[in-house]
Amino acid sequence: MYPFDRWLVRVYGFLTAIGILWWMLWLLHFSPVVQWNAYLVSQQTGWLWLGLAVILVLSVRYLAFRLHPGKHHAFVREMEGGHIRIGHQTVKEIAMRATKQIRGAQRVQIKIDESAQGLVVIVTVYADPVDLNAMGEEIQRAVGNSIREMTSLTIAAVHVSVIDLAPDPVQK
Amino acid sequence: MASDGVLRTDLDENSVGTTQIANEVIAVIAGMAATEVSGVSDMSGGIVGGIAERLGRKHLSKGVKVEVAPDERKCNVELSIICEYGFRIPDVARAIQESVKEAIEGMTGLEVTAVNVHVLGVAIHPEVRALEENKE
Repeated sequence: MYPFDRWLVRVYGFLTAIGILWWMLWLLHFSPVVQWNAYLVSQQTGWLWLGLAVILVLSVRYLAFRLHPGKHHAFVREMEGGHIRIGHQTVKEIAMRATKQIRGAQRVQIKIDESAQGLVVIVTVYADPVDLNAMGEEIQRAVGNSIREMTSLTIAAVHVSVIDLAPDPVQK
Repeated sequence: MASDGVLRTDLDENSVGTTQIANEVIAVIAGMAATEVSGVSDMSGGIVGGIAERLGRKHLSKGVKVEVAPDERKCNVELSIICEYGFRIPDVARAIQESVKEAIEGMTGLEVTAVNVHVLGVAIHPEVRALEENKE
């Protein structure tokens, strides 16, 4: 799930929770809610329609999200007794785990592309204030080795992108 | 079989009937054989398997799909697994293929033509995680 989708989930969850709470209070005849409902319906319903439209758009987005999980499914390797499919998410988890073990890497995002030479791993890091070049090299080594050793997939490149310094450094 | 999900196996020439083995049984055999392999953290069975386990039912065929050929003599098995972090996935997959094939062929007499392994994630062993947390 991409960060944008995580934010959408939060917005969707927030709106749904507020809506359900409001509805429950209305069912319990909580007088301020009943009065507000009566007032809103009689006066102006424009923003209610807007809220419902946002929830509808988010619902449709998540229906589509579930139906189309993305173009990267798995890396397939034929073997004597059948084939192995290593899920795209599995490779990302291995890279994530390898990166998080490096001192200085605090928050990490992993993206994996495929090229003719092999996998291209893009590691985006929010780092602690450490030697960033050394940290980058360590991440490249650790990610490359972990993926190679655990999956036998070919790695073409590991790109590390430090996009910000983390505000609250963690000791490792 | 295939249409009703039950495999019918003829007994030897002197037998007086047939033995039926449900696909579910083959799936359970495959699931048990796979989970015994070192490096397999869990089977990945989707929402239904997850709910069944949360309700306290051990879902032994979780993450296993069995396809029996029309001649009812051969089958293909597909397993979805979560691998333990630190193990080589191709080695784990090969061990699963051997273990599952041996178990099904030994217990049912069916020929296993392919065991396809889908690795859907990696998990860290709880003991390793606890050790790492203690270090930190």
